[in-house]
Amino acid sequence: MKKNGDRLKSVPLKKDINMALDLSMKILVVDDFSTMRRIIKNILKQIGFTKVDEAENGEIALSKIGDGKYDFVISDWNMPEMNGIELLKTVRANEATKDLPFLMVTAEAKKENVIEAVKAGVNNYIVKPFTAEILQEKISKIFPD
Amino acid sequence: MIDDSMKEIVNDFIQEALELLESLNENFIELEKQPDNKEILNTIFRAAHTVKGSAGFLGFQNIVELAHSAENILNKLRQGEISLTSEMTDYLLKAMDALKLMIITVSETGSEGEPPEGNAELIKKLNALSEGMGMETAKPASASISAADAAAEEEKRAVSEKKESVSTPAEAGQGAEEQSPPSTAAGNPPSGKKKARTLGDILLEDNLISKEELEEIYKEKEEEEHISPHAEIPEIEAEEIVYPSVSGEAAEASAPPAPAQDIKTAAAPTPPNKPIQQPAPTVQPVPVQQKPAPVPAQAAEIKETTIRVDIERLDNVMNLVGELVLARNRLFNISSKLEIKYADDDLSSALAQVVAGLNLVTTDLQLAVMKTRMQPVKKVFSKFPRMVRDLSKELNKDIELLISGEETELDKSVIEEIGDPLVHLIRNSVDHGIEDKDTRKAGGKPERGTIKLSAEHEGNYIIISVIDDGKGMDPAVIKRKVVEKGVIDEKTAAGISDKDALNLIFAPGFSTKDKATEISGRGVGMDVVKTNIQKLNGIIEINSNPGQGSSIILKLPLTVAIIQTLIVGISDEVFAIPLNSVVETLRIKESTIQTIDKHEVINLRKSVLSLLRLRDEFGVAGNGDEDAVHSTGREIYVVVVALAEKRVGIVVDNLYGQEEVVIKSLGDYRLGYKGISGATITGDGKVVLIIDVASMIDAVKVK
Repeated sequence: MKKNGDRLKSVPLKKDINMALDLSMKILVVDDFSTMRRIIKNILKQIGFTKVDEAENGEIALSKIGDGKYDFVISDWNMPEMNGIELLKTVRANEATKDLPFLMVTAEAKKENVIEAVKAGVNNYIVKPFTAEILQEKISKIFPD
Repeated sequence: MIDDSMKEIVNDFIQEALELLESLNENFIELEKQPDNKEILNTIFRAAHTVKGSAGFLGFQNIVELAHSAENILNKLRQGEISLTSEMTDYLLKAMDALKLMIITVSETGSEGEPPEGNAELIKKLNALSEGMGMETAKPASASISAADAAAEEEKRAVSEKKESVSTPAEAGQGAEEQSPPSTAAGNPPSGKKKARTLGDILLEDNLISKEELEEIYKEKEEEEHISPHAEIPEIEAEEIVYPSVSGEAAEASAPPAPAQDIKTAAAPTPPNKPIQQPAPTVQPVPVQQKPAPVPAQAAEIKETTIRVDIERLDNVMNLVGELVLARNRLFNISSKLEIKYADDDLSSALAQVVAGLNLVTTDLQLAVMKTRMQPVKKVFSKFPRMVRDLSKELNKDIELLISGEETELDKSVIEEIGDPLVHLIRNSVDHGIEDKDTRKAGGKPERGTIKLSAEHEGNYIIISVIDDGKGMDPAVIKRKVVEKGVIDEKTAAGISDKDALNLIFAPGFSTKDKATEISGRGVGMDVVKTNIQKLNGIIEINSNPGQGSSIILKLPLTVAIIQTLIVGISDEVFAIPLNSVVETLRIKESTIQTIDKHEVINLRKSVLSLLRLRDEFGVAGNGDEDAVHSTGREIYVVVVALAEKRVGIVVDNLYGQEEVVIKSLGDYRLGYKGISGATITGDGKVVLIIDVASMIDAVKVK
């Protein structure tokens, strides 16, 4: 408990990497489980992001993304109705959002899954559970300076 | 601050995860009926997966482990690698129960603590089931998990290694360039503007994939996209398909066209001369995926529509509404008096209008507030299919539980109280009601027994009924048992009608089974039913036809705080009787009253109804002529009240009418008599005592 519970506690974040990230990015967190959304939002806040919004399913995510007001999407892979890959493909198929950076949250990093994600045009993926540090790394990789 | 938000998240998790697991029972039952239904399997899998995922973040390792084992089997099931056995269902259900228990432990103690007893065995069993039953024994479950874990591990390592090498951003860029030149070749120059990199680029950069492999993947992707679309718009599609593909994206990334071209030709040899930049307008309407994309514009309206509110706040609002109702009643009363007194005055009629408006709004407000506390009865019902399944399996009976009206809504406090009584009623039906298969067959009934559980609204009540088609209850047997147990003597038993005899099953210590089974028959069950229903001011009605089954009907008030009452009078005193408990009112002749065993009774539709004179009970002084007319042919009013299974007639002088009141507790004032449950203020400003029906019924028994 102790050891893992620390995941949510603040960790010293590398400021140099921090610098490279645009902390004013508008981020949309998509997950059907509200606890997960809260956890991810919490971690994002730890990293220093301030504009974080959430959506509880692909439909809502699409309607929100449709406004073009997000700079970055973090979505769970495994969701009912529309899963993360389907959401991503729909986002990519739309001219207005086809370049929207998209980070996929997944529970497993099996090769076939990674390949599927590459094919769908994902920008990066992250395996649950993760720390603020790892998430920051993953996001930094998407946005080189 | 972090600790606070952490606590909140844990609380969220507890609530959400429990809700999720609770909802699974139904899915499991459904799954047993259609073991191949991938959708249900998916739902259950996702639940285990979700619980595991968030528990992992919160550091609940035991929960993660167990959820993982369950998830593992479920994954194989949904992939069709293994098929569902009844044993698997049993163990999966056990796993869900164990998960619930562990989460409850977290909510009670704040930490996960030691894994519950038998947890390790459960995990072992689950793993064995998933491995042993697998079609391909060569590829056991653990292998695939460890593969996944290994991948994750490897990935983490890759990240941390990377971290070490990337000490400054500048170096990072360089490092990436140096160590993985292919990334440049892939058409993604590190010097680009703020252009997001794709996973393909990142994997290349981290040397997790070779350039060839990546190209292979992109090629596959192109091929898939060329083959799979159902050629509905063949012409345009061939061009468009390029667009969303990664190579197209990469090319667009302000990259020098040459390397991108490289990929293209390598990746898609079949149509070699595709333009790199597609005109946007034609592209837009055709998504890559087969399924049409949902139209964002339409979905734009969807917003999150619920928030969680502390129940205390709702109670507070309810209280305030109660006060408002009292004030409204009072105002209403005054205004109608004014209107009579100053019939021609404009002001008084204007006041009447305003009060009428206020009246409407108050009623609506009250309803609206009540609704905020309402929850669908499904919350309670959903656990029964599982229970019936387990019990009937244990008893080797074939029983189907039909549920209807589960969307019916009830006050939260009522929902909390009806769970236990219903458990007992349904257990009784399964255990004592429905016969075993052979007996049913011999009796000319279908082998499969049915229990119907339903809920519906009826005015200000909710009716919940449990009806089975089992062997029914035999009044003679019940009477014999009651006498044997010494609950009543033989003489009394003989005088009890068949209908009334059924109510004897609620007597404490009653059980018709000679040997108490593990499931029911300890003689406490029905007592619990009675107590809880009584607490809610509900009414129980039993019907039974030997050989055809029994039905037990619970009639419960919708709310508890604001109630409708019947205002009655004895001499000059006024009392209120909760209308929920009133079955009917009668006007009878004194001469029809009989006395049995010093009890005053009347015969009401073949059932004996005990009477209670409120005047004697409360010691209200009469006007002097009462004693004289006691035995004359004078007509009196009897209010028949019922509580749980009991009925009694309360004798009063006058019936004044119905009024909505708010129950105010009497606090420490006991008034030396327990027949009063509270007080209220009526519209004319009088304080009126509310009669406690339960103690009235007890008073009759004591006599």
